[in-house]
Amino acid sequence: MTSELDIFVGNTTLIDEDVYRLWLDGYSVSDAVALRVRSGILEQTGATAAVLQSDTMDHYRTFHMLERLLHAPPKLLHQLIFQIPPSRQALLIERYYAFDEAFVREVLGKKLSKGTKKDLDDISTKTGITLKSCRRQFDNFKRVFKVVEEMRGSLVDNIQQHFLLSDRLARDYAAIVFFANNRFETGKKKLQYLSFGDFAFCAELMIQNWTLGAVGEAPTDPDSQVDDMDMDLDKEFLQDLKELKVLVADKDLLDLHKSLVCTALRGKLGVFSEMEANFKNLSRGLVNVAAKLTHTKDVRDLFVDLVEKFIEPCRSDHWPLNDVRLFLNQYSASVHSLDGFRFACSGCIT
Amino acid sequence: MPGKLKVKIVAGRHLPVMDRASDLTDAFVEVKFGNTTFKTDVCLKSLNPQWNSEWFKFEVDDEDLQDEPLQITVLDHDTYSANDAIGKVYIDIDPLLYSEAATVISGWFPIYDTIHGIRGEINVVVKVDLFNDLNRFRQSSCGVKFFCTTSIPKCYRAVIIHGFVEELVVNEDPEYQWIDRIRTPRASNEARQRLISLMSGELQRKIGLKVLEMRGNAVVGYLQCFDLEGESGLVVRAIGTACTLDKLSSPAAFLPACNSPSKEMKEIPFNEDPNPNTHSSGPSTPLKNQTYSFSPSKSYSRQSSSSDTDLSLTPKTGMGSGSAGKEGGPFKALLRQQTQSALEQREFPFFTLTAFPPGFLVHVGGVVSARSVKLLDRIHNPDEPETRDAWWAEIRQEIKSHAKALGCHAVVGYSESTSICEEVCILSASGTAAVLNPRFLQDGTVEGCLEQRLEENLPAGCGFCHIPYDELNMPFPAHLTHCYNCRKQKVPDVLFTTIDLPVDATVIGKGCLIQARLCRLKKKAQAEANATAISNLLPFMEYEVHTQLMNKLKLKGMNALFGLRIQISVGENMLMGLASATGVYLAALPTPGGIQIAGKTPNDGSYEQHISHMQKKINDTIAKNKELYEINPPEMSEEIIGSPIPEPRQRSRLLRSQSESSDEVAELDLSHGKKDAFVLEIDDTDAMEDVHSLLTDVPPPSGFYSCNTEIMPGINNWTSEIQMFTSVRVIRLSSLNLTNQALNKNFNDLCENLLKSLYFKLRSMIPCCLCHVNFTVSLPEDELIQVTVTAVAITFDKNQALQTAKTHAEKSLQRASTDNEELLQFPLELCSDSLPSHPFPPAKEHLESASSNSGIPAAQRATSVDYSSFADRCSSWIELIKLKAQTIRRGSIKTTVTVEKASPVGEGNFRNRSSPPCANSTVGVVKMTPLSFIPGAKITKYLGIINMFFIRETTSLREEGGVSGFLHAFIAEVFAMVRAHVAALGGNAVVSYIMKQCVFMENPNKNQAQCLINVSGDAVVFVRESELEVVSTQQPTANCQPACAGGEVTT
Repeated sequence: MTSELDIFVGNTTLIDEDVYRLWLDGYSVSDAVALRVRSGILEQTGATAAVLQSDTMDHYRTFHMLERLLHAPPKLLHQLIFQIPPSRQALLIERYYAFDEAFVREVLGKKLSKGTKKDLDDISTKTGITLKSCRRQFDNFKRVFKVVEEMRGSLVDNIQQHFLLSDRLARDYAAIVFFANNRFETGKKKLQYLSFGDFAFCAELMIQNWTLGAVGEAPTDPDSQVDDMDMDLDKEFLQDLKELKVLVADKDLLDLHKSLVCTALRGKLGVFSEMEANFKNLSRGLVNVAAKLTHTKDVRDLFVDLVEKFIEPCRSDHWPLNDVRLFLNQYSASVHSLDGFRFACSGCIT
Repeated sequence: MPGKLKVKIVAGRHLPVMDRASDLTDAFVEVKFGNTTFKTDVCLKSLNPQWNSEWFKFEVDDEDLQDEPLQITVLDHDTYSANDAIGKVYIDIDPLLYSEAATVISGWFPIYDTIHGIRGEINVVVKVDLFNDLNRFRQSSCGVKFFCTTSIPKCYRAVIIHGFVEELVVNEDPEYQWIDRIRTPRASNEARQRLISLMSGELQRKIGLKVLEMRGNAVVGYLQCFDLEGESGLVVRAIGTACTLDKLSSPAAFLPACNSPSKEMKEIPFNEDPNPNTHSSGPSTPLKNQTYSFSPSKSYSRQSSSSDTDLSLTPKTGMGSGSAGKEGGPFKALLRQQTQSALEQREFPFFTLTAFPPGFLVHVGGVVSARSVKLLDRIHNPDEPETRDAWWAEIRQEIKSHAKALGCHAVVGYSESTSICEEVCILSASGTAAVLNPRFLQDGTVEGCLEQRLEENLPAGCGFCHIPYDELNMPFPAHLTHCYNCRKQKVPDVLFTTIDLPVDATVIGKGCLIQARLCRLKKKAQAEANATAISNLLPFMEYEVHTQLMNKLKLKGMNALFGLRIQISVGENMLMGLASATGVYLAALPTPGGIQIAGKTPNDGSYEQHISHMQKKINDTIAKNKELYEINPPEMSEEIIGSPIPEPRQRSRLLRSQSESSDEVAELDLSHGKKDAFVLEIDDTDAMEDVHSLLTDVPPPSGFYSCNTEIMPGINNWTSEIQMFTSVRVIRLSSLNLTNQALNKNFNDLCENLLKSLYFKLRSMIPCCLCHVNFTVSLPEDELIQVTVTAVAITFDKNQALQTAKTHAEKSLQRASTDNEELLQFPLELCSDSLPSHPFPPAKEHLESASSNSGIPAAQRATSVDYSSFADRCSSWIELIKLKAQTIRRGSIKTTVTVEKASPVGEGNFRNRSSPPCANSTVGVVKMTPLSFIPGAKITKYLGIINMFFIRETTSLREEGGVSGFLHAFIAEVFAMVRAHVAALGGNAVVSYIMKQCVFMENPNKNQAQCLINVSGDAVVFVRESELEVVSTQQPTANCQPACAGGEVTT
């Protein structure tokens, strides 16, 4: 006796969260059944393995049918085929677009192209995430990227509107899209200690301050950003950064800057003497990084450069985090009082 | 002439990409009705086109309006080649043809293609302007309402129940026409869908005409089926019960009658206001006026109805009251005589209803069934479907004679079915023989007074169990005892019926689903030889199914079956029997004895040991089941009963026969002759198997109950969560060593596993009950068995399980005072109610303690609605309220409630308006249920019947996820289309939903599969009880009509 066909269709579509997670994680039906057996569900419910198998198959089929709709979440809301309560719909979408930290670190800043997709096997072996799951996550990134790429208006808002994601997840996606678009290098060994959250934080600040949309607009007034683009860095702004060179090139200015920073921070920094000693080097490092940003290649290496030129010296001197923050704040604040300079801190927090 | 159909195409969305180059679609729409076609403009390059068309107007006969579906085709415009069809929508406009139903159909419909499934949606608005036409010779029957529900629909009242209507139409199946060889599968499927749609429209119209002829205005329990006879054609047949229904719209008129709810409840059947145009129930009214006068308010309400009494009938009334003290016996005879005369004029005194207005059902005889094996031949002349008509007439005649043999003049819970394999067809009909109260029947004018006397002699809750036949001249050997409830009348020891449990029945404990499953191998044969082989097997199958049912019933410690449905399916090389029913313990019937096992070879020591071991196991199971289903009947001493405890003998309540090719009627006595049937003799391995299989049925996991009736006996406190589902399983039998035993085991496992899967899937709903579990089995191919289950899981509140009876009483009381409309409906609804906020919380607590102190037996507490105990409790509650010194006079409860519950009118209206089923922008929720009600809600409007037929075919089976993926998607699509149609009618639920057919065929080698699904149900508007209470309590003051409230919202 073999089961040829075995289906269950409810008027309200049944969604089992545990099975959904297993499906998202890319487990095959048999693996999922094995995992569910291990979870002790059989003992709890008195069911048999065959029942579990049939149940898992059913859910997998449902998810497979839903996947097409999940690719365009607004469709899920308006479709008529599956009657799903709104809270469940939200859960389906949120979970589908959720990603693994380990995975995102691997592809962050990479071009979301076929070539990268081919490397997913390696990523899968490296991270221990199933290839299926890697593909889903990669495709999600790519899909979101494609949809919002050409769009005007706030990146986060666009993502939220077209993918109905929660605010947090939409921000994360904005960061991913921003990084992919600018192809920031994040995979170097030196950058391995940085988490996705760190990069996402940077991305948010950069979107707020460095992009076409940000420049010349008050960031507190998002409605006025009628025709901006959050994806690309503002070329003019980068060009302007070149002017910063004067901060290190002009000896007087450098000294003045240094004295301003030192006066302000005296007694506040635990590593004051180190800072005072290193000021010139640090300032030169920062300014050089900023000035180079007109070249695409250097834009990509932004984070590598920042780590090499600024963070590593700081770390070797054992600067506490708070001191770095104070220094950078003061560093940029002093520039304002120096001249009409405007400099948005990149805020690399380690 | 008499109708103008107007259609507007608004917009489309989510259309498929038809032009690969641009990834877009140039869509336009063709609207076709009859032979007229309109087209919209082409909406270039859009997957979400906005046509916003003008109103397309069709001027048509109402005959066409009834027959034809509106056909909407969405196409992709192509400049150079033929336009590609995207898909179609068929809209049945019938619901627009009755005055009270929907007035407009407007909404998003899935665009359906038989090859690709649903491809986007289209927004359509449809209206009908109907002109009155009083032509006597008209062929249309607009205005006759159709209901799938097999009880009187919730917001209606039955004035007269006329009786059986049937009709069938035949045609050639387009799939088997020569043209099918040259046309595409899509064209062929569409031709079929369209034809069936046309045929069912025609059928409905013809039935409507018959109803009008009988002076009815509605068909209740309408069941329409398709027989795909293959080469020989396509038959669409329908049966139903013609009624004259009255909409309940002025509950205020009855409001004063609220003082003693218990009595009021009992009076319901008589309280109904007869239609002025009919003489039927007139006479009963004045009599009641004279005999009982419980309260002035009540006689007031009655006087209002007696205004149209026929005076000439008064003498008879007097006679009726004169015989008040007499025994029931002669009365019964008289009653039977008179009702018989009333019913004899009818060709078939059949009723497709399974639940009845209180007082309608007097006695139940037992199940009657008839089967006949026929050889199909080509239908030569579609306009004269006489052969098929004759076949059914024959079977119905048989049923009628069986009923007569049981001393019954009518058959209730009647249904018909077929099973076809190649050119052999088994026609089956079954029902429950019964004696009915003639008051509801058309010709029952004279007897009005009689049944009521009878009623007095019959205590509530057991009357229907009393035997209708003559004790001395029984149609079959049966063992009778005095009724355990009233001790006056005789009752059988077991009762099998096809109807739902009457609401006033006294039940002990809970019920459970009982199934008998059976396979029999049959030699492959052709034509006549095949038919003969099948008819030879049938009696044995029936016998075994019956034995299994009986044994399982005993094993559960129960004594009655309700909702019995025996399905016999025929395949190439086997026959399958599947019987489902809900077992209960009726307090009126004797306690069932145990099961004894006897061996044939008593000398063998080890064998005896084995036997005694088995016996112990069986006894343990019975004990366990009794505990599980809370069956603890009150102990009765034999002296009181005055009759010996029933001997352990099994008697059949089934009368049946098989006839092969029309002539011979062979009656089968299923009473096991003189054999002591409680004793199972283990004389061979077969019998061993039987015993084993008895014990292998696993009870559902704790927290789960299941039944195949509308409601679960013993559970009343439903909460509002429902989940309707369909599950399909097909298994392939290994062709080797097929024996009957192996087959039985496979089949048994299939069903058991299916149930287990359901329990597992729905575990999040615990505690819940699977209601209306409907199994259908078919044999699509040689070694395939297909089982389809549709049911609904309803949650209930476990904590309140013990208080059910009490809360009932309270609720009803509250109802009686606040919402008299409820009273006029089936008490069934009372059982289905979830608990709303209670007006008198302190009193409630007191009642609980009081009733537990007063030691009301568990039996009564678990009763669904037991009027007698009900009365006590209601009045005791009132006493308690008095004790609480709240100084509430009986007559003033209503006002108190009103004060407590009423909220400002504006708020009530606002709330009602703010909860429309489909007003919000996202997709509105449409509930589906096979039941006739929605727990925790009240149906305020019936929008019309939903009857849909779909074909889906694929030539890329593997790509669509194999057979499971294909069927899963298709069923989901069918649900979606049903929901969309209901939503477009302005409804928010489908009740009495049934999947009548699910024919699945596959050819994996060719990567092809095809499936046909036919579903039906009633589209309704429901309002949650919590919202409703606001409205209904406002009634007296606000003077708005709740029945219309829901409708206003949606229209």
